[in-house]
Amino acid sequence: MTDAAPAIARARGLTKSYGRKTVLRGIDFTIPAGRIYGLVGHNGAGKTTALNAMLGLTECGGELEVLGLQPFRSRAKLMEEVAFVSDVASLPRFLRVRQLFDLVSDIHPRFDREKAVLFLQGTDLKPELKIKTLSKGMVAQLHLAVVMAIDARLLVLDEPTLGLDIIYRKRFYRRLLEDYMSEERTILITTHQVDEIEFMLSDVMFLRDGAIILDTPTEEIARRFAQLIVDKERLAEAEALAPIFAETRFGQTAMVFEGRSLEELAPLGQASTPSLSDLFVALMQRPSANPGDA
Amino acid sequence: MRAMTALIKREFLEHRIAFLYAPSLLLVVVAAVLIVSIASGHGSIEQSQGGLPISTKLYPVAIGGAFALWSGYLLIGLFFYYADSFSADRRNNALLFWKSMPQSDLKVLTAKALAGITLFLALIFGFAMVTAILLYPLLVMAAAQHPMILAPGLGEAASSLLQMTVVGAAYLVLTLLWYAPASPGSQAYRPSSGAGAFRWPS
Repeated sequence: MTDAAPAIARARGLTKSYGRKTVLRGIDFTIPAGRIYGLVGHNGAGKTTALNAMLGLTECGGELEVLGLQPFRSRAKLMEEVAFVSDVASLPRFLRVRQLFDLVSDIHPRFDREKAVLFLQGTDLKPELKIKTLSKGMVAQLHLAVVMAIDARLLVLDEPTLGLDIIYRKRFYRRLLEDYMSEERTILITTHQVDEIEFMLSDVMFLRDGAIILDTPTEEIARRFAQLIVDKERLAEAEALAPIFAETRFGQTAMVFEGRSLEELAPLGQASTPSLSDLFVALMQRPSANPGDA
Repeated sequence: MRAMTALIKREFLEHRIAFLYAPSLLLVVVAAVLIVSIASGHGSIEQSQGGLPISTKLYPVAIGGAFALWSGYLLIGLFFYYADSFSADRRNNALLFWKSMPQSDLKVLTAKALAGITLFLALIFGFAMVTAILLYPLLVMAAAQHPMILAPGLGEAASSLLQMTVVGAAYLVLTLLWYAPASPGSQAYRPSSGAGAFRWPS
């Protein structure tokens, strides 16, 4: 994480409750510019609430600034430089593709119609098609074309590929990286399919029960965490190194360690850097919600 | 202004079935039925009780009737429009798309309210005008079928049309004002249910 980079979003003691249920428990985070942040958490962890707070869709306690604005008070102004796609968001079904572009051109000062048309070249999306006749994948493509044609500094994607097949999902993320991402832009993504976006993330934030349990650049993960498939005869030695997570699958024991190098673990079995999903599962099972410096 | 115009246009695109296609269809069907009915000689016209010549009042009365019917259509259309349009986005999940646009909730709500009292009013007024104009040839046809009816001359018809249009336009506007949602200050004087008690979503 580059501390010198200007913060796109900054939260201090962000809280949110619905009745007696506390969804966000005073979380702190700072998102610098030019990063691709993955926000990962189980269902009900508070991901969507945190995103909604950043988008000005819900009011929260604590301090929150996005692009220097208080989101809930200045949503319309904020949306000039923030674009978002949500899993539950749908495009207006009564419009044709052409009419959608016309409309967004008129109501969004930073929307570039020509760019949006360019993004659709080579796809099956034609200007006269009615949105209500499009498949879910085509709607996702169209929505992505709209948000990518907006000159936004922050793009928020909340489960953007939910319900799409693997081909659409891969295409979606490839276009995002190739045609959209730049040093000035920041992307914040939540998804349950962590492995699919792991390659593109620069930072990751894990949420558990409304609290952040990990907020780190992905390159730090390899330095900080290690996974070991333990040789049966070395099990006791591995357990002595205090793994943060252990699981036996098909007769093999896999352990995740924090603060142990691969070299240190290699004599005990197959040592590697855990995938994000493995690390997520490990940290979700950890007794303490706020271990170490997370 | 550009954004407001676009938002009102959006309302038109979303509700054009109720305020353009359905009235057009209605107009065509009613006109066809009347033409066929008159041309085939069906329908009876009797001497008016007062003995007044029918031609002196029939056309203005017909125009007035057309405006009354269309204002009824407008009120029903607007009732369902206002009742539905503020929640439709939420129901069809497009709300988040609109929220992702840099337009305030107030502006979006204003566009919805304005669309009802400007664009949709103008459309229905247009249909009322077309109906009033179509009534003239129908009256001429009826006069040919029934010698007791004297169709007004073109000049007289145009004068009636002009006068009744002004009255009709005023009637439509006043009707809308009468049924418009009350201001917060006068809310206490409004009934607790019905079109006048419409509540803006928070």
